[in-house]
Amino acid sequence: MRLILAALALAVAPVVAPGALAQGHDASSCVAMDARLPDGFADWNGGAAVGTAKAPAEATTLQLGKGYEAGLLKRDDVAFIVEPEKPGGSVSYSGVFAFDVAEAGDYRIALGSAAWLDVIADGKALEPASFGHGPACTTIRKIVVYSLKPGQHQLQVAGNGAETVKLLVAKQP
Amino acid sequence: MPGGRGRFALVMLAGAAALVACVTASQPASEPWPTADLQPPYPADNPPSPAKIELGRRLFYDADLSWDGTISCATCHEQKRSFTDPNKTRPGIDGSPGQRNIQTLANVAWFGSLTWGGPHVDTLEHQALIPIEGFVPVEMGFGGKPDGALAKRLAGQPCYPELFAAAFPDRSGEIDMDTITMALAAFQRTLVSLDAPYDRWKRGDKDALSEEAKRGAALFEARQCDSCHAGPHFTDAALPEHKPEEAFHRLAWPAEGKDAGLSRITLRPEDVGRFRTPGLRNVALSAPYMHDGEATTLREAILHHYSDAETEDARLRQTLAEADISGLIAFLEALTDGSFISNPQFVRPPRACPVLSQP
Repeated sequence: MRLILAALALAVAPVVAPGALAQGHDASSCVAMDARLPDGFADWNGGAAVGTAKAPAEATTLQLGKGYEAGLLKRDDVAFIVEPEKPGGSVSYSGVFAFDVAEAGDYRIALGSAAWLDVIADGKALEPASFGHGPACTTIRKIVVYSLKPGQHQLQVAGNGAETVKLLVAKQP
Repeated sequence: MPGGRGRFALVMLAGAAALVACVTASQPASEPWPTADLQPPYPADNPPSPAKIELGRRLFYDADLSWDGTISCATCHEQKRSFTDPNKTRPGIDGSPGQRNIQTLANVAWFGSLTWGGPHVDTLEHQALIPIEGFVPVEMGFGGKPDGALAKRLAGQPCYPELFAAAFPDRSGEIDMDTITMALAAFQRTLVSLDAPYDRWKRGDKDALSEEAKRGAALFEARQCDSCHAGPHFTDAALPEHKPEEAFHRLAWPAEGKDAGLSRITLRPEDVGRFRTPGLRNVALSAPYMHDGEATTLREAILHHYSDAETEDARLRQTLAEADISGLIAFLEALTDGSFISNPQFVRPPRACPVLSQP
């Protein structure tokens, strides 16, 4: 079986090297990463430490515009408020946080990985207004935009490959 | 070991594949259009059972099939998009870029070749190994990891030992790459989509299609789109009389440095730019299109077929009026099967261990 896969790799390698067919942003063409961050993301690399709670009621409240290095726990050690659409495997990492919205509007949530993200209000996961990759030549992997009403919201991260993830919540300018 | 995997080496040694132009292969008039309960074929050494299919569904949605737990089969094959995803290509767990567009799994049980560029990948059991253990590109990341790492992981979880025992009583419930891929394949063979408006029209419901879609269906034949997108699954890769390598065709020569298609496997210059015909079931849900995802709309995908001004293929030297394009799009939209994308038998199972049914 492994011989077959090795043969496949060899068959492909002479023509196209791994990674040669880049999609999205090719970081190798960037002079510097995070040299130009979007408005509201100046503190993206702030790296403030915050740990996930095991239960939503104990979730730490994040400050808007503050860049976090968020500590996560193994998936089954976190009590999700709602089951994520893509919860990740048992070996992946998850977290539950909170943030306050004072003024209705669009809010951007940026992650440094492709982990699944849910924003929850009144116990229900909200539909994002839009989502996409982070800007080119930044370490922002994805940005999800939600139209939010005033009040406290929970933020679930699921299916992260590492124990920490860069995280920032910012109001849309 | 499921049949078909060993054929790869033979294909490689042969340098492969006499490739021919598509044949005109519409459904013979004498053969009735298939009904929604058409039973999919399966290999003799992997017959389906309810327990095996249920296990396969659970594995399909389980991100523990990737090394770091971030990607399941369903991450890239979303039911609501006919088991594909909205990205051009998808990075693997290590962030390395994907190389080709994710394909729909609708009616994949009938496909004789299963990837954009490899006629040797002719069983779903074999195909499953490519994302799980492959290196080019890295997708789920188990390639190069310790032997048995995935099986050991699954064996240590609450549900799987019992589920494998129920699904593979003849193998004493063994958990290994063979049984993992056999269960995945058994589930994927249940992904049958044969109840789109076009199907109902073909089966005699004269009101199932709009006039625009009917005009598009006629154009689809007149323009010989059905010479490659042939038969009830709309690909010559699913024609039983075809050899797998006969479903690979070139619409245009790739630019320097771009994906060379079938020739990456065969190393034959004449195979540069040849890719397997994709099926068109639920195609309106599966944007973007083409092997590289460069066509973002059905309109762009249609026009891409006519983009090579120097093609020697007469079928690809035609011009399309705007009305023709809109007719073709209406026809393609009539291939959307709402019952397929909402079928509860295909959804992610609850995390709790299931109550086992009879094998």
